[in-house]
This record gives sequence, structure tokens and C-alpha cells, in this order.
Amino acid sequence: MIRAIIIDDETHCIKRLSILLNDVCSNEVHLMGGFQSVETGLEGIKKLQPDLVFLDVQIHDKTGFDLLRQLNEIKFDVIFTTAFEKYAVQAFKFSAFEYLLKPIDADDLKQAIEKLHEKISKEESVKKFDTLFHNLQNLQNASKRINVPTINGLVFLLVNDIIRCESDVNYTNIFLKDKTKLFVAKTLKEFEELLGEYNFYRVHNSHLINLAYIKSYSKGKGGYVTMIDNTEIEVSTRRKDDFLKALAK
Amino acid sequence: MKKILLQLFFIHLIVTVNAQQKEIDSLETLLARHTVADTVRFQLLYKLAFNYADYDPDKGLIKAAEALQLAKQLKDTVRTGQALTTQGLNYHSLGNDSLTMACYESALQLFKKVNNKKGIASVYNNMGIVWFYKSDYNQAMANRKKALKIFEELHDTARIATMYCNISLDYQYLSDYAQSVNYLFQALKLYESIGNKKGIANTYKNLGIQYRKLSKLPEALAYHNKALEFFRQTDQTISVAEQLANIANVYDDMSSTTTALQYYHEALTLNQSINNKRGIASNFINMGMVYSQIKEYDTAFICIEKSIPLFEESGDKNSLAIALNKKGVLINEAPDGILIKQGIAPPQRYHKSIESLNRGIQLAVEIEAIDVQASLLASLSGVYESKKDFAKALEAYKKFTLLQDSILNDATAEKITQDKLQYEFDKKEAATKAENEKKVALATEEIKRERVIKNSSIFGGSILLLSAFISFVFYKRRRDAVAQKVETDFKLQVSDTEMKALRSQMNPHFIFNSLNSISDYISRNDIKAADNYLAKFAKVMRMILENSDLKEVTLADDLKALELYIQLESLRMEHKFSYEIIVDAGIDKDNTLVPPLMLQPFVENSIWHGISKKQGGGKIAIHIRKEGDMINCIIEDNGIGREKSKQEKSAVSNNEKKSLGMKITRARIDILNKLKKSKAAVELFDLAEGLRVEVKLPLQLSF
Repeated sequence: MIRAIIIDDETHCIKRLSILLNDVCSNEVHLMGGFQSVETGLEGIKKLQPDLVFLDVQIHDKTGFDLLRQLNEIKFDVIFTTAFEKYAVQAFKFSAFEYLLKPIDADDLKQAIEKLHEKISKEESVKKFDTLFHNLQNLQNASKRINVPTINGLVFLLVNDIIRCESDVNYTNIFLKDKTKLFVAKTLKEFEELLGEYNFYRVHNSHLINLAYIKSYSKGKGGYVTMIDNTEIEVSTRRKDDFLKALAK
Repeated sequence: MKKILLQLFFIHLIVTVNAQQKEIDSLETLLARHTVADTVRFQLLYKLAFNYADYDPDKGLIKAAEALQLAKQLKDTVRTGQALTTQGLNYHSLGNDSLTMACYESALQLFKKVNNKKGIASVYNNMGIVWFYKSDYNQAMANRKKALKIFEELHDTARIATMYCNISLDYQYLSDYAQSVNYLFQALKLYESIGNKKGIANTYKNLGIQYRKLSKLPEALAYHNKALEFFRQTDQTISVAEQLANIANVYDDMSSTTTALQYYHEALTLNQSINNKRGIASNFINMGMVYSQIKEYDTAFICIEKSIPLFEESGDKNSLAIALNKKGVLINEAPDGILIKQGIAPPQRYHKSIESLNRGIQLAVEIEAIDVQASLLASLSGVYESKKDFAKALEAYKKFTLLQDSILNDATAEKITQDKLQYEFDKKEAATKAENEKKVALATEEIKRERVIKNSSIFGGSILLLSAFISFVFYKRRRDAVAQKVETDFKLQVSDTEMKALRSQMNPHFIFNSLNSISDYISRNDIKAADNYLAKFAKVMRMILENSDLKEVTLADDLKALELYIQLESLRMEHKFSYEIIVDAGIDKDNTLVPPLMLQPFVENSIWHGISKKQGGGKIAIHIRKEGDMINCIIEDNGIGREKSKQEKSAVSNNEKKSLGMKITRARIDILNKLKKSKAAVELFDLAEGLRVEVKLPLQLSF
């Protein structure tokens, strides 16, 4: 049985989620309480020692992240809940955190609970939170970190260390600055969505490159770019103009 | 016997005007007329000061001082530097080295301040000349090499050549004849390449000196005569006097004493007429040597004694050492009577002689003049021999041999020959090559000429016409293209805005239709089911809103949103209809771009107006096909069809809404066609049962 609490500043959200939990997974999750502020939430966590916290992002004038930062050690799983905070969703995706969008869909909730069974090690968990906090502090710059799922578990990367990504059907190979390669269970499209804002550009159906690591561009029909690791990446003809525009920025 | 020779190398580098009395006169006239204190007057003063340096340094100094004052008045740094340089030059002619150097140092500072390279190099060279006359040949060479480097940077051939000459002179005085000759031949080559006669003459002069040193007297005489001839033509008194002295030196070597003395006297007269102290001193010492040779000791003593203070005054240690050598020898050789006339008691003969020679040796060592030192040592050995002090005589002689060897070993002689051969070979080869090329070119040219004249007039004419025509065509085309591009850009911008507006209109349309669905669902179901439905709807709405923000989305994304929407509607209608979405194998969903939400209004229409009103189960089939460079999106339902639908809802209000989504979509397609120059279209076909909509969109790939 998973012992859970909800921290959310709106009563109707707490009520709705508790009803949903009762309907969807009453035999898996035991809800111990709901708290409507960061302060009461912290007390609740200390008193009840839950396994799982459903944590709202915006809690009055504070955030769920503020709450987490005040804890010395995070010994529970967190599922974030939010209605629209785009920046937060972005941060969750980067750090491989579970999150639910409100109004919460029952199927999504079920899935999220199921994923909790895939237990991760304590160190991994600590790193996950580190990544989250780091990214929240560095919302716009390229020193962002990203957690990617590989066969050997989560790997924590600096966005800055990625030279390029190459698709391999539904997987992606990530080529890093230190000349290592990671085989990741995510599509190139997902990476494009994640990294597009951080100076990455998809020059080809199979290639997403970090614009910061281009050594040279050779003209041609679409042309090709040479990356700093001397790999040559073809640029799709249709992408050429847009790519050159992106380069000029 | 070594003789002194003075190669006055007055190519001072500031101005290249020939120092002529005539020029001085005309400059003075101009100066008298031009009294305005401006740059023109400065230029006149400056040229005069420069020219006076060789003729009348006292006058030169007056002009230089005025030039300096004027330059300062004009606040002109470069000209101030130039004035200081000529001032130094005149001081130099007067033999005042410390004032000379002070002037040059100040000039150098100024030129460096404004980075005037030519000025810097000139001053370095002039400083080199001062050091040279102070017999510090290493310092002289260091300065001239600095100047050479700058001139090489400036690609100033004439001055590079001058530097070669001057450096050659330094090497000569350092007794490195091989290097000296080497530099001279390099200089000669450069002068000949630019046809600089004065340079050629100066180089001839120096070659003459070198060959004399190597005891090749006929060659030496030939070179000197060539130089003399030139200098006479250009009326350069100082150089003429110098050549006369040099020729005298050679005749002396050839033992033609009388001829030598004639030349010396001629030179002396010229030097005295222009008060050239260095020249005078040089002539005196040389004459002294000749007179002592022919045993006219009285005259010899007079000459030498006259030269010594002049050398002391000018600080020319090399010449002074030579004079002291001669004096020592003379004292040793002269009969008692002559000595007494000179105020030397005969018993003092050896002492005085050795004293003079030792002073000479000391100077020669100081200035590293090996040949002078050797010569002095030979003399010293001779004096000791006369004194019967054989041990000391031998010691001096040994030192002499050692030095002599280092000056003229075989290798040195060989290298000189080599350099000469190399030069002559190069010269001949270049001449032959040029000659041949000229001949060939002339012959070819003659043949070509006739043909070219005939052809070129026809050809040129047609080319001119053609190019005028072509440029007009290009100009017109370009002008049109530019105009068109401006127009197109504007249209595109307008269309883009319109498109955005339309897309955003889709949102309220979708939202309100969705609220209709939700309200319809809630009215028929329990709270829990309604809540579940609502959550799902929120999800679909999120996705559709996100897509509508973009100009284009992938077909995969658009179909995913569409499918979620259909599922939701299916849920609402309690699975009253089934659906299928088929995409042809020839289409890569992830790589195909479509405008978002083009199909949704038609699907919505099929569900609300086709199927919902039908008795029994319905079906919606969506089929995406590739047709050439278009994709055809076919939406087929088996609902009640358009006719029936119209009749049924003629009284119903939501007719308006239905047409809104379709209207917006049609407008979007029109603009799309404008933007992409495509032939997108929407066509509706009534089926026996239901409706078939075909939305044809241009096939766009993202990669």
C-alpha cells in the first residue's frame, strides 16, 4: 500500500483527486490527508512520513518547489500536479519527473501510479531532484541538465555536453562531447521538443544537432555541417533556408 | 704599405637632390622671394640646409635653425624631425659629433612618436655614419641594419641598395672583405635594376677601394675612373676630390709616385676650397706617406703633423691610428737633422717612435681595426729591429703575422672571386633572357598585329552591342524581380496575418462546440462519468490548442488530436459509431506537414449532422491518400446526408455554427494557395448514404 498525501491550495482539487484515487486505485493508494499551504504541507510530511506526495506547483504565492527545497532529505516519491505552468512542465520533462495536468484524467493517474513501481535507486532519486532544482534555477541557459532513460537506468546529462542526436527507429543515439554515445529509449522527436529551445536544430529527419558545436557548414543542395567531433551531418534540402536563418541568430 | 683612404659616403637619406652650387643659388633666390612662414618656406630652408652641409655647414646650420623654428611654429612633428636631421647633418660636417648625435636622437624620438618609418630609418642611417666616422664600425653597422630592415619593409629599392653599400663599408673597415664585396655586388645589382647612376658610381668607387685592398690594381683604377667620370659630370666637388685621392692611392701602390702626388694635390685644393676637413686630413696623411717614401722628410713631417690634429678633432680614430703609424715610422727613418727640426732629440728617436706606434695600436685595438693594427705592428717590429731589440721585434712581428693571416686567408680571397663570378653570370643570363624574349615577342607581335587590327574592329563592335543588349535585359529582369519580390513579400505578410487570425478563430469555434458536447453528455449521464468525460476533454482541448498555435504540424500530430476528438465524441454518443483512420503506406506521417485542424470541422459536421441524427450505428472513415504532389484527405460518413440534414434543421439554430468552421477552413485554403502557390481545395460529394468530403492539401515534407 502506498501512503499518500495531497498538497494543493484549492479544496476542490484535493477533493477531486481524492475521489479519483478512490475510484481508480483504492487498493493501491492509501490517502492520509490533504494540506492547503506549504507550511502545513511540510508539517504533514514530517508527521505522516508519506511514500507519495501529490504536489501542486502553484500554492498561494509559493510553489511546490519551495516546499521541497526546505527538506533536508526527500524520502518520498513526488507526482506534480498543475493546470498550465509551461515552465514547470518543461522542467518535469527534463528531469524525468511524473506530472499530471489538471483536470486530472483517470487514465493518466492510473499510469502515473503504475510507474511508481519502477523503483529507482536512492542516488538516482537524489540526482533527479538535483536536476529539477538546477533546471528551475537555470530556466533559460544552456547549462540545463537533462535526465535520459538508458538500458542502464537514468543518466544525467548537461545539455551543453550534447553534440548531436541521431534517430534509430524509436530510439535515439546521443553523441556527447567526451566522445561517448548513449542509446536512449526516446524518439528523436521527443528530444527535438525538449531541446529545440536550447540552441538545438533538427537539420534532418534523423539528426538533431547542437548549433553551438558546428565547426563548419559546406554548401551543397542542402549542404552538410561538420561538427566539432568531425562527424559530417547532412542538412535536408527543405531545412536549408530555415537552418541558415537559425544559424544567423 | 697601407694607405689611408676616405670613402665619404654622403648619401644622406633625407632628400635626394643633387648637391649643386647652382641649386643652392636658385634655392636662395626662391627663399628671398617666399617670406611667408609656411610649409613651402620650410621646404626651401630644409633643402638649403641639406645642400649646405657639403659646402658650407655654418650657413647650413643657420638655415636648419630657421627650418626648425618654423616647423615648431607649424606644430609639425615630421618636419621638426626633418629639420633636426639636417641640423645634425651640418654639425656632422663641422665634425661636432656630440651635437650631431643630440640632433639625431631628438629627431628619432619625434619620428617614432608619429611612426614615420622613413624618418626613423633615415636617422638610423645618419647615426650609422656618425659612428662610422668615430670608427665604431659595429655600432655603425647595427644602426644601418636597423635602417635596412625598415627600408626592406617599405620596399624602397634605392635605399636598400644604399644600405648595402654602407654596410659593405662597415665590413670593409672590420676587415671582412668577403662580406664587404658581397654587399657591394648586391647593391650594384639593385642600382642597375633601377638605373640609379649615382648609386652605380658610388658602388664602383667602393669596388675600386676593395680591389685595391686585394692588390688588383688595374681593376681598382678602372672602377675609380668610372666613378670619377660620373662625379665630375654631376659637379659633386666632395666626391670628385675623394675620387682623385683614391686614384692617387692606386698610383702610389703602382709606384707611380709623381702621378700620385699630382692627384693628391688636386684633391687637396678641391677639399680646401670647400673646407672639407676630413678630406684635407686624408690628403695630408696620404701625401705625407708618399713624401716619406721619396725621402722628402721635411714635407712628409709637415703633412702628417697637419693631419693629426684634424683627425683628433673629428674623432676619426682609424685615420688617427694610421697617421700615428706613419709618424712613428717617419721618426724612425728620418735623418737626425730633420728630427731636430721637428723638436725631437736624436737619442729620443726610438722612444718617440715607439710611443707614437703604441698609441696607434691602442686606438686600433679600441676600434677593432685589424688591418691598421697589423700595419702598426709591422712598423713596430721594424723600429725594434732598428733599435736592435730583436726579441721585441720578433714578438711584434709574430703578432703582425697572426693578424695578417686572419685578414687575408685563402678562403676569403676565394669567396670574393666566387661572388664576382656569380654576379657576372647572373647579369649575363638576365641580359640574354631579356634579349631573347624581346626578339620573340617582337616577331609574334608583328604577325598578330595585322590580324588583330582587322578582327578587333568587327569583334569589338559586336561585343559592345551585344553587351549593351544583355545588360539591358539583365537590368530589366532584375528591376522587375525586385519589384515583384517587394510585392510578394507584402502579400505573404498579409496572408500570414490573415491565416493566423483564422486559426485563432478556430479556437472559440472548437471551445464552444466542445462545451455543447459536454453539456449534452452531462445532461444524460451521472456525475462521475461526466467528470471523467470532462477530464478527457480537457486533454483533447489542450492538444488542439497547442497545435492551433503552429502554422504547420506533422500529419501524425494532427491525426492524433483528431482521433482523440473522435474518441471523445464516440464516448458521448455511447459508441453509436465506429471510426477508422487509414494512412497510405506511401505517406510518412512524421515527415508530412499539414496546417493544423483542417479536418476537424468536417469530422465534427459528419458526427453532429450526419450520424447523430441517424437511426442505428454509423461509421466514419478517414483515408489519407497521396495523389501526385498533393495529399487527399477523404472523410466519409454514412449519416443522413446533406439534403435530409438541411430539412431537419431548417428550424434549428446551430446551422450557423456548422457553416462557421467550414467557412473558416475554406478561407484558410484560399490563403494557403496564395502562400504556397498550390491548388488546395475542398470538395463535397453526396453519397447514396451519407457524405464524402475531400480535402486536398499540398504535400509538404518537413525534411
